[in-house]
Amino acid sequence: MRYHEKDMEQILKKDLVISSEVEEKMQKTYRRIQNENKGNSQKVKTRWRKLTTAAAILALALTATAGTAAASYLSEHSEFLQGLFGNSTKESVGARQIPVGANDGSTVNVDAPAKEYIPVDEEKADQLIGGHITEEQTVVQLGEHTLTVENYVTDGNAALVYFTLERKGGVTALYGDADTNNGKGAYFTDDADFYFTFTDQNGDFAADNMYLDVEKSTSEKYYLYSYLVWTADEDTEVRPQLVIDRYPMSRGKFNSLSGKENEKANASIEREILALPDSGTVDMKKLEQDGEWICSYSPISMNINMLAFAENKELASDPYCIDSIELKFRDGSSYVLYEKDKIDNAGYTCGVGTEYRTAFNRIIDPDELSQIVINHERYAICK
Amino acid sequence: MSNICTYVTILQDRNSFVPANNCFKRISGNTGTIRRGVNHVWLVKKAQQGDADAFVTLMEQHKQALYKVAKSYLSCEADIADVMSETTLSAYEHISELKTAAYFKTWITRILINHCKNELNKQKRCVIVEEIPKQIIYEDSTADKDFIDLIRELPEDYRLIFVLYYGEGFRTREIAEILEISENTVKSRLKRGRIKLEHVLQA
Repeated sequence: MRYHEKDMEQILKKDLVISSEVEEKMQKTYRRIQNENKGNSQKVKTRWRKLTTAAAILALALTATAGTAAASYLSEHSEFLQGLFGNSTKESVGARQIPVGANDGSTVNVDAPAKEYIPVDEEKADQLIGGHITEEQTVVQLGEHTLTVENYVTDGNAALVYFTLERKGGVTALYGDADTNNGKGAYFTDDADFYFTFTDQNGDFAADNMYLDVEKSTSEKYYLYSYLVWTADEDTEVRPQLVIDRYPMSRGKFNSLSGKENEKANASIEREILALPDSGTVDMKKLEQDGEWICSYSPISMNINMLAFAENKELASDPYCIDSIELKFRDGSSYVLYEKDKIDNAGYTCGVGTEYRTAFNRIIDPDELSQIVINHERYAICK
Repeated sequence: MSNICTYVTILQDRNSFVPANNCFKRISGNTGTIRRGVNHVWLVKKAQQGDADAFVTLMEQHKQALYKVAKSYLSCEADIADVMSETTLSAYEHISELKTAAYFKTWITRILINHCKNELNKQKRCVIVEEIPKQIIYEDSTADKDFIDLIRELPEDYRLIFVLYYGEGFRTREIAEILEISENTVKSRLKRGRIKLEHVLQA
């Protein structure tokens, strides 16, 4: 049999017989709504809202029910929240081997850890960080490309940014695909004649990973989500800024220059610094044991004191002294953030001095944490 | 059913409020699809004011469409019943947050899809202790069999797009909004899906 378009239309348009099981459940649901509504409708609504909130708290602890309450909640920051914390734009991948280029030009297979993305409860996420997500766009014209920073949020340790890059005729300055998403992120091409990055107010750069939404993006418009970790040594309130370098030629050509030509071209790079809108900083909580700082955490990131875990001070500058990180929640669920060589559920991780800074790939409720487990050391979190 | 009758009666009694030529403006040819127009918008607005009967009427109008969408995700009727019930409760709880009444169908379809995905995720996390035979009961309807046969031939990513496009008359732009993917992706999947159906079923 061959389906023609018309046949398909006819089949898909026909009414189905709704099973008695579904019909009965729907009638029961209607009766519940109508019965609840018979009393004081406001009272009913309040009670339901409480139930939903309770469900949302559970969902936030990243259990199987996550997303249920969020399903019907329409956040103003939906794209930001879904892109950075959800699984609607990303697919989880298991541990696997991926080919990488070796120094001699050949490729070798290396073990890549599993990555898991889960649904996001937008309502709860808004409760946790919504007040700190910037609303005002920053739009910059970069030759034929237009960069628009839609939203960002920071807790002083990490930052999450949602931005778009567009160009009529096709984006040429940046490359990203499913592979870069599972690797080191999207990157600037040799055709680009500009470069941009995010820094703090002192010009300290943020290490980042740019994730491209491959479903939503078109050749003319890229939707990008960046997980950044601030690299400043000192604990200061971070006021992010966008730093743009405009090159006198393509970056490919620029990089091929040598000697005086390079110096001359280097001198003609125009740097523009734009302060991004300020929406404050998400609070971080600090965990100490016997007067020693163990780690700090917020809904979006974590900062671990490697001195508390490394065998000696020298090794404390090496992020590989952290073998595993797991966050356990009061409802029994857990977020395995990292397990060496096996699982990497971080948006981005970077060692800064003796601090292990990591941005989450999901949002957590710090008040629902019951335990933090680092290198199999358990730290109970009191409410 | 009594609730539906109540609202039909009210609409007929209020001809001055609801222009006859705008009532039940159909956007699709068959009896099971949703009708848009003043009636639909009016019901949404009444439901937003807390009118449970209006909400139930609205849900009855959309029940068939939602059932088809759920059926393209889930095969177990008990699971479909659960997600449709959860969708109904979520929608009633949050209907006041719907900004444009005319987008109710798009909005509730998105809610249903989220519930379906959650259900599938739950199933993935469950340890199967007893394999249940995947026998599909068609409940005396050849329409159901044809529907299931057709969507079975399509990859999962394509099924819903086909149901929404051909079955429910959504435009590609609306489908893109519901599924949060680009319109180009919707168009290319429709195209590839059509080719796939032709090839697979010719074989």
